[in-house]
Amino acid sequence: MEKLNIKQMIMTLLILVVGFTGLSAKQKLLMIRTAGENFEEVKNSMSYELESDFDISDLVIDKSVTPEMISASMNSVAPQVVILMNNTSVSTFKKYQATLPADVAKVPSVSLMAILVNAAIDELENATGIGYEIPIVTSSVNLRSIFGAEKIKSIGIVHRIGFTPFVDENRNFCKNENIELVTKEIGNDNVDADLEKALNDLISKGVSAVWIPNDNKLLTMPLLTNVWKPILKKNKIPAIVGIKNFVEPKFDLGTFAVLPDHSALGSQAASIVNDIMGNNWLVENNGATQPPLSVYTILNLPLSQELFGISREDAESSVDNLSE
Amino acid sequence: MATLSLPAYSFAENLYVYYPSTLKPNIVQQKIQASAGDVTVTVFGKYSDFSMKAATDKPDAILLKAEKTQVLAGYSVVQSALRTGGQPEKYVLLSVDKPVDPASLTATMTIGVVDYNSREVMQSFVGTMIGKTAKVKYVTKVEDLLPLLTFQMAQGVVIAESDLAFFKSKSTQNLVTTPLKVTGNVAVVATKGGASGKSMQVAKKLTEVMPGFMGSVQWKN
Repeated sequence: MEKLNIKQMIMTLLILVVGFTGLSAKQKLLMIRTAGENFEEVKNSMSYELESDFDISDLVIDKSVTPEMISASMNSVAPQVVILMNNTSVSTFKKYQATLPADVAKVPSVSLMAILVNAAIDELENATGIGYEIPIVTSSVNLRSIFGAEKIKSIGIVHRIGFTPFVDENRNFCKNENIELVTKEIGNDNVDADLEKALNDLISKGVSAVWIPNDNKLLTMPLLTNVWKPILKKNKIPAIVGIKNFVEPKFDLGTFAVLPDHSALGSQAASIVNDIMGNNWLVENNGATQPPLSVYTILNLPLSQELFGISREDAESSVDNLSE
Repeated sequence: MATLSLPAYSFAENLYVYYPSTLKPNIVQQKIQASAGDVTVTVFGKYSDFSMKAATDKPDAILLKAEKTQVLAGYSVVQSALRTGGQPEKYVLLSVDKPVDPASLTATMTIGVVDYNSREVMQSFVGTMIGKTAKVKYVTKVEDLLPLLTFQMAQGVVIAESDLAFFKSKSTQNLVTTPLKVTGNVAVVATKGGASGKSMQVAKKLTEVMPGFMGSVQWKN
């Protein structure tokens, strides 16, 4: 208990030091996040957009954070709006909010960099967020603009049930872009065998490329080595991935990586904060989230040359970075 | 015989470039630096990065998409780019399936725009464009306007008419346009003190070496 109090005091002090900018008429914003380069990038971009109107307090947490610590920070900063980065921040803030009386107005929150943010902010009041998963339509349209509409007409996806709403939502967006999603949902129990069968099945239907979901269960080292890599290689199918390492030539898996643009993500969050401020600190549509608008793209140059014969000049003008 | 010792002067210049192009800034920088002589060119992909760095580093010259009154404090415009034939930049409101009549927009409807100047300037720019106040959603790159339409987060997006081909090549959605009345410069070069011949030459060269960067333009002093 004594340990907890000391931790609370240190955190409170940290917030006060970071957030203190003298007496001002600015609004107050509390950012709750974990440490890391990507979080810093989002914070810096958001701060640039908001610092003229907000005193920004930055609370860096780890997994030991408790609702009591969040409560202490909320009391000391008294923010008009809260930014929650990653699932730990969201879930702990949710527990803190649940301790408040039902009739108390809830401070609005914007959640980002959290996995499946829609589900994460469910039951949180006065809450909105930005998804961290890059929409399949965004990745597919970008892939098509590199290799051409003749070569990219359909995208194959093997996914577990947790991704079904995300895939179904994107199916409609892709339809508007004349890209067909050919999908296979697999269960949670027999993933290894089901993945191999489903992937072969998709490929037999002639998909132009495969989108690999960021689902840890499907991305174990044995599955990468024994299923994804050999099947894609044998059939010469390009893969869209959401992890930077996967598109490195030595990893021998992904052709095209589509990642969040963290600086733009900060700007997008700042824009939502401004909307909330303009709406008397009320989230207009509680629980609704936005997709991330901006992406960072990387092309595996040797693999792209092997599969599509693309020139280096065309490749480097089409993406943010080349991996070679 | 007396030896006259002169201080070592450096005639090198720094030129910071920000233009909301559909080309990647790193590629533009590589290409233009190769023919920029002793002018060091830095090309930015986002206005916020550009304005933060320019405010700190105070380069000799800046090239940006702006009107005369909208350049950074301490800089004055020495050169402006118009479209070939001396035509101003034209803008359109891009939407899906149905053209958006600006007169029909309500205060709750959203218009998307690239954030290529301060929020105050952009809010005023969009207001002038559509003739009324609207909710504005900002993106940092030209290509990010397309998701606003795809995910129905905006009724329309403001684009330079010269960028229309890019959107039509990227998307198969039924993209339609409504011309907007306001026009402007394509870009300007501004310096801290008077004309900066070298940077102005590099700006001209930039549009020759990388015609896709700003499209076809002609410069005037």
